[in-house]
Amino acid sequence: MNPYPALVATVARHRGVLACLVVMEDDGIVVEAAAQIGVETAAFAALTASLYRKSARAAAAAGFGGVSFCELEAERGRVLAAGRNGLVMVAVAEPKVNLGLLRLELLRAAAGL
Amino acid sequence: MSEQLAIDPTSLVFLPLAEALLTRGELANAYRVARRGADRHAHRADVHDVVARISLAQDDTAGAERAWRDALAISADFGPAHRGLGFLCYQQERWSDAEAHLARARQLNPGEPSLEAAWAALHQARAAATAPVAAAEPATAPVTAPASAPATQVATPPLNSGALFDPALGDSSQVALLLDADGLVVAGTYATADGTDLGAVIGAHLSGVSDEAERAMRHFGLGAWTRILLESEAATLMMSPAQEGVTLVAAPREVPLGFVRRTLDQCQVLARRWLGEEA
Repeated sequence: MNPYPALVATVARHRGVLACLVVMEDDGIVVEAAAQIGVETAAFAALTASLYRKSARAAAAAGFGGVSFCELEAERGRVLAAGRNGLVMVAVAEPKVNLGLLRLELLRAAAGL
Repeated sequence: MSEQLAIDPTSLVFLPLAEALLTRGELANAYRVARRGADRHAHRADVHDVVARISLAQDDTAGAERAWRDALAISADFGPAHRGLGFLCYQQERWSDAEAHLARARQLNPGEPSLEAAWAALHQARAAATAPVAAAEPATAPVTAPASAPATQVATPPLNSGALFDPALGDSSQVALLLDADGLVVAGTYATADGTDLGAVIGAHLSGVSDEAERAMRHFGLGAWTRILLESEAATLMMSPAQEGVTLVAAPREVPLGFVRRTLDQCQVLARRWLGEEA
């Protein structure tokens, strides 16, 4: 049974989440996605996977060990990512989202990847 | 230490215990331990200093100020209280008070880098903030006049840029760096326990993350990036853009995320002032 739709749905129904995706860490290919109309999932998938990869490499090279979570905060929104087993769970959210709750939700969902 | 304190409640072991809890971010427990200790050992200035630092970490600036003033009531020359009040007044832009306390702290701890950096930053910020409304500044003289600061010092950045972020970091286990666009360290230090400075290594590797964020933001339509958080096995890393470079804060994983974010915000203010971005 494919577990990803349920994982994505858990995060996507969180208030303030515009999109939730499971993507391949290596190439940013979308495995599963749920998004509101108008959200370009392909761009978020590719670039967030790339950012996550770069962050993981940089943190490891700097001696901080592997990265398990990253968040990019911007003027008009937030992009959160949590990875496991070569997959990255990505959430795109409004600026006012409950960050603490969404972070926990994303980490919990990512544990199922 | 908790067991030792339970066996002997009059023991001073509560001091390192409260410090340890503070470092671990267990602020409510730290405050409870320190407060009980302060009640039993009200005559000790160092006890009030611990209470003050925990209060500050809890965003209770009034409580912190009260505790440091209690410490000074016990010992007017207690350096940590002057230092704490100096930094607190500095953050609250109470320039005259900040100057008086930092001046006294410098007299009591001559040459301490964090105090020298704070002293220089104070004069720079004060000059920038009061320049257009100089006449409005209260004429009240500091309790203790600072060692006469030459006029040229106002516009001079701290001589020891390594200590730029010390007012924000205090005695915490966090570290901060200001990196330029090439990942070179402009200010701050990242020293290991054996004294090795890893700032250059960390800056070189992590500055690339902000480049990647810039690239992503061009496609996301979310505006400019304002903060990046990375949680790794060993540390929490947060960075914000500062001119062409970034301000970076690293903290052990046990430090709460909100506390790291707060530290980053404070470091960002110091970095911007130092870079001359803010009036």
